[in-house]
Amino acid sequence: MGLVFDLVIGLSLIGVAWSIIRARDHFQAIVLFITFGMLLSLAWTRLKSPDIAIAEAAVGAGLAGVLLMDALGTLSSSRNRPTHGNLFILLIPLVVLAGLMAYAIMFIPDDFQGLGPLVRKSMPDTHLEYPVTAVLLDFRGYDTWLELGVLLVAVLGVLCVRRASTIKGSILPAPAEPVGRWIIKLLLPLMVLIGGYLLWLGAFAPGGAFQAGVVLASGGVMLWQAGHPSLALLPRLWWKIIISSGFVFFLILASSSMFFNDHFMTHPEAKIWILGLEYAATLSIALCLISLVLASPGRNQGIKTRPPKSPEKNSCSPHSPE
Amino acid sequence: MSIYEIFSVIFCLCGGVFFLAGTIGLIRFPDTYSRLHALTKADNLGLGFMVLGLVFVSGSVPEAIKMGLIWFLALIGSSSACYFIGNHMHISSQSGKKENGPGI
Amino acid sequence: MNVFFLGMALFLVLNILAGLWRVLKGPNQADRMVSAQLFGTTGVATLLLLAQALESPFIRNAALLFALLTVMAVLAFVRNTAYEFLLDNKNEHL
Repeated sequence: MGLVFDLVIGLSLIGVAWSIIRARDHFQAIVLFITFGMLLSLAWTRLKSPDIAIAEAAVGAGLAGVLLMDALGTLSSSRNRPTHGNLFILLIPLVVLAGLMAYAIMFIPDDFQGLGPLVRKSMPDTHLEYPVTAVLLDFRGYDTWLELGVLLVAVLGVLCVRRASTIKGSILPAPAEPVGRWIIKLLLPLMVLIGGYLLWLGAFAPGGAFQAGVVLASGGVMLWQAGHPSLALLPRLWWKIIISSGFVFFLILASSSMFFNDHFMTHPEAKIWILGLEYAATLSIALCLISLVLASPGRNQGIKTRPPKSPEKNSCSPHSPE
Repeated sequence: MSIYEIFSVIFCLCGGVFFLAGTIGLIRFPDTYSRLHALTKADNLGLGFMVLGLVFVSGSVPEAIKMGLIWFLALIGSSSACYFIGNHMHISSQSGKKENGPGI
Repeated sequence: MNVFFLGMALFLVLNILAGLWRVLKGPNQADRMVSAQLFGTTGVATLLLLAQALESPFIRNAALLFALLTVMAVLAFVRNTAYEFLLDNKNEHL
């Protein structure tokens, strides 16, 4: 039964991915993308990775759909059908890649137990209790650090495209129906609570900085949907400090280890610094994701560009027949 | 099989029946509004029976309460979401008929 | 017992796959969003069943997040789509 389930999920992932490529318009592709995220969360569950399943549920069900629909709202005049080139040319590199991966998996030696024993052996050196947190923040700290850098660069990139320097000035009208206001009033404190719960849980159970950051970001986005300026109210200096806090805190800890240990860029020994790192990363991820949503121009605002010079200004008169 | 497991199986099967009804309604009903109607049955009773069935075998009270709260949250969220969709369709269809004449 | 729960989870995944037909066909964009909402709730049920079948209690947190965050996607849809978006074919009326 487990094998049948895995086969069904695997084949449906491939099928949904194919139908995203062949979607008839952008909105259908967005809904299929949300479905893809949900099926992927089920796949991670079957692979016994609750951390990634929780992260995929948070991003796939909520934030990815919001970001994509905001982007779609900008393209309101161009409802072009996505162009389908000659997709069969793609098959050749895909088959080669799939063949290489199958070859690599089939020749794994039988007594290979994975990295689990190695992690468990090195766990007492870190002062953490949960192996996934130890891997994310200690053994593979570089990856987490650069991931925070990627988020920071993404926020800066969106602001550049929008030719703005802050996320201020993007206020939606409040929802007209009372149900809209009520549901936001109900869900927002719940999101903050669950975000805090996931962050606290990360010390000893599946959870952690990224999942908590995404849930907190969803709370901030809900606040913005309510017509509140949301985190655009933050003074600019604080906004800059918080979005870079994760990346910079890592850098500070790594550089200052030069004074406490023999080497440059080693991990701190005390647990308090690791906890501080996780909290800074959560705030940073949350504010970066909120800035990404707030800075994306929606349907009601256009991208501010310079209007083109029109040479026929005289012919446009207010009394024209149209 | 203990009595708890028998109850769990019965309730989960009931939940499955309601989910099937929701999916069949989604596929077969003629209009968007009626599909919304089918959806809420699956959300409400389908998930409710599933959670009820799982509570019997969960083995610890905090987990059972957590699943009950998840059901409650899904109930609130999905009924609001269906209201939003229905309201949006209704308002858009009215404004659309005013803006665009019959010859569009 | 775990086999039963895994079988129910498989049944729900097949329901999701059947509902995809409505996403591919649905004459409105609102139909597709209704399907997404159904997939969200079915996903919650599937994750709860898998949490029991695989004896992994923290998957229930993932189900909690699904239930919490699907509303946000629907709210974004309602905010961001105008009338001309709802129709697939401009000659129809709702």
